[in-house]
Amino acid sequence: MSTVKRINRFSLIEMLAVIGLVGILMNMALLFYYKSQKINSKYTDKAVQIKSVSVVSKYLRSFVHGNGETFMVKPDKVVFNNGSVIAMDNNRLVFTAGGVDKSFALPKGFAVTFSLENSQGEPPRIVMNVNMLNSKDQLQLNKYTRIAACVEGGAQ
Amino acid sequence: MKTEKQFQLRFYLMPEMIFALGLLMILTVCFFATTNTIQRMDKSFTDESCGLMVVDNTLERLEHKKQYNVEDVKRIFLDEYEKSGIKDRTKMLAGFTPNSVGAMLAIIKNNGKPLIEVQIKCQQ
Repeated sequence: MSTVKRINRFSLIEMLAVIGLVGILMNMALLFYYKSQKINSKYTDKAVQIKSVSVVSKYLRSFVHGNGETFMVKPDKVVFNNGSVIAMDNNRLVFTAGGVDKSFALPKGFAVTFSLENSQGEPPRIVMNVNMLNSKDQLQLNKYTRIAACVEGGAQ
Repeated sequence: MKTEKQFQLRFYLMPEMIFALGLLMILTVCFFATTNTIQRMDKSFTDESCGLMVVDNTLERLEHKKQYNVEDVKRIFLDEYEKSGIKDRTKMLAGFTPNSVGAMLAIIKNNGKPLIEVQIKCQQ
């Protein structure tokens, strides 16, 4: 009975080539995974933002119409003459009227800012900009959705 | 009876290697092409959402104005278009056409088709 035992030896270059190739493939797999996760998370937030804008715009307008003239408008807060408030609180948009709070959770990576605009012959309007945040949580001033709500009873 | 272990070195032929690398390249290209498509779709959805808000905000402002004519509608619509920022970041255009009953507001997409058209009845 003959015994055949063939051991294949690989040269150092072959081994290095295999190690290098495995390294490249693993890095590519990791890159694909990371990129997929990032894209998935980003677009989920975007979809929520688009949906939030449509919901919040209706609520904001009915809230502004129902509370009359404003007392103070700051980038993060709007106070009405009757004591009602719209404010940002830890990524939540809180509407307070008559001691009752209603809040909308904004998607991660978004923030809102308020401003008051006046045009001749029109009632003043509260403008809410839903801004995207960058990786350092700073507002991206060129990426926003603008929602206008006219103040009822304001001087035209 | 075979009791011995046989070790065999498998070699790959050049066509096999080329085929494997080609397949890997195709997969990579497909991945990045898909990513690119998703990004374009997302940008398009975001722009369309902003475009719709331009008309929505215009209607909100007109609704709270006691009376308005074609010039007022044009001024408010173009003001909203300007302030929405879509002028700077997209190729969407604002279309304003006065007609016999008032004016037609439209947001025109890159391909020349309207995203939204709204007929406003008002005084000339």
